[in-house]
Amino acid sequence: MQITEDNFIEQLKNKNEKALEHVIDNYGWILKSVIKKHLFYLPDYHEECLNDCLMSIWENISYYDPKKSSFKNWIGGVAKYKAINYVRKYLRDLENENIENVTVITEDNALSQVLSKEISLETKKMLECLSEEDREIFMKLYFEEKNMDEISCDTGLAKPVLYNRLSRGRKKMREAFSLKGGSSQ
Amino acid sequence: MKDCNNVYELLNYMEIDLDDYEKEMLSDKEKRSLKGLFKKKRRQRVLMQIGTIAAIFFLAIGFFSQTNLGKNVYAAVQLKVAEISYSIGVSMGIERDIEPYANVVDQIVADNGIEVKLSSVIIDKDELIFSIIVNTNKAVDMFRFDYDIFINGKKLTNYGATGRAGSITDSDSLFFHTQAVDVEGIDLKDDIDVRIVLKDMELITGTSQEKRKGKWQFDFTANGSELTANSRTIPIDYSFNIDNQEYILQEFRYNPVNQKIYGKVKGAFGVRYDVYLKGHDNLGNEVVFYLASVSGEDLEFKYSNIYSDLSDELTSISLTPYAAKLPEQSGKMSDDYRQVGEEFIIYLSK
Repeated sequence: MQITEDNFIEQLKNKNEKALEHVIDNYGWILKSVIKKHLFYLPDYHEECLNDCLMSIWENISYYDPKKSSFKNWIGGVAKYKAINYVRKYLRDLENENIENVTVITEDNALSQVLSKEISLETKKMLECLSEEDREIFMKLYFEEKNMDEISCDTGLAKPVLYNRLSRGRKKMREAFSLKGGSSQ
Repeated sequence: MKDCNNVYELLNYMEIDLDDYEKEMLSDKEKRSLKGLFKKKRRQRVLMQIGTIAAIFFLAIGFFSQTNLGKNVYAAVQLKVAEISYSIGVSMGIERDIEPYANVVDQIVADNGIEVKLSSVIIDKDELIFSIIVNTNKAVDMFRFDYDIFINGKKLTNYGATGRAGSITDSDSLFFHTQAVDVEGIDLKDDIDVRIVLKDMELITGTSQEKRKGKWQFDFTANGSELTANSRTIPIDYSFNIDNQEYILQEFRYNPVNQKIYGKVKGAFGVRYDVYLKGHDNLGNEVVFYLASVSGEDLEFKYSNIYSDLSDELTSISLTPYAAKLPEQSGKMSDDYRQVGEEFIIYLSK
């Protein structure tokens, strides 16, 4: 079957590898552009992150909804989310390493400060329509991948309150996104 | 309104302004590399390289089969697997149609909660390939199993094998698995009686492993004559040296299922090396043969179809040997491959 712009999403969902190749050929630049910017200080991770993005697109294409978002926007989001997670993981590893080695390397500290500030800013941008409190909950759930018990413990909020906040937050995001015309191709 | 608990669903509602980014195009080389790596990574995810002696796993139906409810459930499960067919070619990652060379078995055996369908078997030179579908009847990440093989009543011992497995349509309980077992001197012309007995299934989820005792036995006859009739052998006269050892390549044998280079390795055994042959065919496609086995002086390189099948249209293959030292103890493989011989060409035409 020939893969075209009209059928590649459907074929991706059918697990046709040729459709993923279509994504690489036609949309790969988006992944590279986003990753290169957010992992500017971590060039060693570019290739790994790029491959990781492709695997995530492959495995999670069922969550993409063409009625709500353009594919470009969605995979741009995938790349940004992945890149931020790579930075987060790098910082976590660095922290563990510094604790183990006792010696704190000044250069690493400077870089970690820059990176921490950047991921904080970028995640804030992604969740900009939310209030500070709701954003914290979303970040813990989606970016730090904590479960509801942990979030409840961290925030001191009961789980029903958290569910309510999440539901409200998602609604806000949907409304904000549709106002911006985010589903246009 | 449907809630989304998955970040990939949430990403439908996040705006990414691509104008914020400096456009970075992928080069053709990068695209090729990404495609190749994706295929490789995907394969690794589904792959269970079982090295020498294979292992397997299965599920438990024992409890269910004791009750009427269980019988109904079991019947439904059996129906489920019976209805599934999964091409042995797809199972092996081969794009071309190899069904004409497969012996269809389609036997289903259930034991201890796990159902196994032996779909088909291929007999090739020194190799028996069998393809199964497993219903674990429970969500798992993967499974393993041990097995015995009897050919014309004689049990195989000390054989090598490689396996490939993955889930069927992203199911967490239905899996395909193909196992290629080395069987030296297997009869390629006449029917052979084969018994395959799978046992000691292990279901793996995260770091936990659940053992399921059981016996899944399949008896059938198989024949390799069709594939043999479609096999060709090209003599090779080429050798290269690594340290004190001489690698002599003698024969390229190919058919729709396997493409292998056979040879000998001679000389004092010293440092262990990983060796592969890399180059391109006359159509410009990259071609890699990896060292699949060394047994005594015999060695065998096998075509790696990570990128695609070896083209049916090719007339020659140019290859160069590369090698890297294997780690002395277990650990990360070195990436320090070096060229260990001159390029040579295998001509397939005529």
